[in-house]
Amino acid sequence: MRRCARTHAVQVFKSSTTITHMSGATELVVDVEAISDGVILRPKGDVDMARSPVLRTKLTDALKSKPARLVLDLSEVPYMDSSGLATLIEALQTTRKNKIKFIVCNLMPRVRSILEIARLTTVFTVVENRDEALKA
Amino acid sequence: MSEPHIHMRILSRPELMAPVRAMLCELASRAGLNETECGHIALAIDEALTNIIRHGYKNDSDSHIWISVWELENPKGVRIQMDDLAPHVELEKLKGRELDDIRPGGLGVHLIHSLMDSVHFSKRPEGGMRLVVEKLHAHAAANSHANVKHNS
Repeated sequence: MRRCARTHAVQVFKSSTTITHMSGATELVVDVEAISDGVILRPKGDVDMARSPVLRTKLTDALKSKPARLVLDLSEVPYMDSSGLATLIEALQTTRKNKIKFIVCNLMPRVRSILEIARLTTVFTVVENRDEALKA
Repeated sequence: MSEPHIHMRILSRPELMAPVRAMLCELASRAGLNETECGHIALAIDEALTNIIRHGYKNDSDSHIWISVWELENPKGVRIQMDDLAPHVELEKLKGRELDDIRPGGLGVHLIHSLMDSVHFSKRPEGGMRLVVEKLHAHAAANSHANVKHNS
């Protein structure tokens, strides 16, 4: 069990890739889905100090190909701390530098709350859902 | 100060943050705080732990953090104390940065102040830093603030 917790499992589903990072008793999974003009990332799980490096790696990988649009779907992220915010800000800076549209959608209440407290809701392009993210 | 209801020592490992915040959330809920308030406590403690592990202990995973928790009766709420043995930090550096400066990092202290009703950092004479935070149930916090205003 302990050995399994240190491995990364990779599974391929059609056009999406799932990377599982186990850290202690919990995990962060990031689904990656290709779209016509870019990519959608959908992390699943809490994004805190232990797990934000996984999201950072996936965002960095996605940005390497300089897509026209990067959508971060947070519909399955119930919790995020400032290390998660820092990861998002890093991605924002890269997207601005490379003129990539970076859209964040489907915020859960606690995640929306931390963005509001940090006064970041107007810094990011935040929309309600994935449909809006694809049109933004 | 009376004996804490919970006193525990954890190792400075990021993977322990999730179980600690879950436990504190549960305790805060038992103490009468609502879901939003429990969420604020979880996030504030998470930020404090992150600061200790990353900046205090420089990501060393075998250092110690002591957490003490008191349930407050009148007004309803919780007090949480976190002690470490990291090098002393000048207190004026623990005020959080300006939010208009959009950059990664440096948000933790600002969040702790925003989320909790009282925040007090101090240098422990025996070495290390101490953070004491309190979160009161909204009704109690409103009355407490009103009393402060009335008395000032």
